[in-house]
Amino acid sequence: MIQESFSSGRSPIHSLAPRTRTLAAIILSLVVALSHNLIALVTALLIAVILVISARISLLKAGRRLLVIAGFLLLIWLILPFTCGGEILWQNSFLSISRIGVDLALELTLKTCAMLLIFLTLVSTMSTADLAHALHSLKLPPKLVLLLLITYRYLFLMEDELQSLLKAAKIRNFRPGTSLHCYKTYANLLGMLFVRAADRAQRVHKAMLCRAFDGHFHSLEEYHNRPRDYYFLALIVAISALIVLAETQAITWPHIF
Amino acid sequence: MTEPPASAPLLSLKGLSFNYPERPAIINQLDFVLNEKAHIGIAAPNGSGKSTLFHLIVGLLKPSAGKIIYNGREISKEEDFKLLRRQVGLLFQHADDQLFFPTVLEDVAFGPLNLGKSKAEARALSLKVLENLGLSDFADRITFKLSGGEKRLVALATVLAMEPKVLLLDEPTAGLDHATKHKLIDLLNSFKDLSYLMVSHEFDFLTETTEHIYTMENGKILVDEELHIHHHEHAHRSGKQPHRHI
Repeated sequence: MIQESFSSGRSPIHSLAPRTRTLAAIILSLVVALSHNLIALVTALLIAVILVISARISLLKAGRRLLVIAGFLLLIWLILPFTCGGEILWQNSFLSISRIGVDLALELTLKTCAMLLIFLTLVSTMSTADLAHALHSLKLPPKLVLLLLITYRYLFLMEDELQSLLKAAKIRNFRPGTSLHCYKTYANLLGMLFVRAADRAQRVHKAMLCRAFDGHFHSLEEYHNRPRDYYFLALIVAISALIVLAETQAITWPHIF
Repeated sequence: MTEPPASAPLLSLKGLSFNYPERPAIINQLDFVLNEKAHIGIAAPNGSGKSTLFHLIVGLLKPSAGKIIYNGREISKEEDFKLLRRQVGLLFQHADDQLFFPTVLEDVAFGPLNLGKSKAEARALSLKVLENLGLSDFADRITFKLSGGEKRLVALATVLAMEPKVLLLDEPTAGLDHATKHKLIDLLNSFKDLSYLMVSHEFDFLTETTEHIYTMENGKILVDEELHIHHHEHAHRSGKQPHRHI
């Protein structure tokens, strides 16, 4: 279900402490999210691509991940340029393309791609367990960390249970279709999955109580920052400062359209 | 079966009763005493209330009547049960319920960390427990990628890492292969200083690991201390080959 296909690599990025990577991803994505200036955003996208390359993730694989959001972006490009009004770039009898619409769509596209690539390189290059520990050491509330860990742990079991329910339906000649019987069957499968999940949650909670769980999450990991972690963070902060500078100085995008 | 050493009662249950809502009593006026260093098996069919009994002992369920006495103290409030759970370890029937961390070492260290041990202490203790169970290579393994038998042994490690005085084992052999079952027998026989109470429907397993085997019927534990000499012949395929039943 979750492959974590980028989590076990050898690259300068992988050798950084998970906490450093998480913190860098948070800083960068925050800056990108708040920027509107196109030059700032193009810079951010370039930085993200450089990060992808330095994490030794193949650009093809990274591109395939970007396809996931392509549909969402396509929708934006289909709607925004035609609905924003303002200065008109091009028009015919029933359609007009507005400059604000195009700029907005471009901004959203750059932001989305930059942030996805940043998370791809900085966060998906660690295991979920490492991410949880990084978040814990960044003072995320322990309950949320535990929620993440346990979700990750039991997702696989839930998938197993779903698969076994589906198999049970299949061996009794159930075929997906568009009939009321089919919808009812799916509803029952889903309901059963919830019941089983609730049941398991209770058993897991009992098992936790048996091991003296008192609501506090203690992590076994101890992270020690190495010089490279500080250098990397300093670099990220400097890049972020540059992006912020581009934003606040309002260096304008030369209109190409 | 060997005679147990005469020793003080560690855990006693007096007139314990419990019923699930709208159902007849599954545990009914049950009396039972577990002595120090005693190893007791309960052989009973499914649905006879064995798991319920274990959950009552560690306070996961509340009895409708009766007393639980541990080390001479009556245990009734949740605070008391919290202390009791530090010394009475329960091995669940389903190991998956018990292993909730991604890696084995973290899971084993969960209990000791909760007991207030430092990270270094918890790590050292967990590694030692894993080593004692012959699972040294498992520390960094991913829990949900273990086989059923491996999960059971790791679950046992998580309980042992709490350094309990009493072990409650709920169907420890369910779903185990032959080799793991024998490993478990050897392990249990090495726990000389620990008391354990084990339910299983595998009679042969119980005879190899316990001094007494009781049964459960009508919500009570029945003690049958008399020796019954019996022998029986049985037939099955490949019966000519030298073999053991377990």
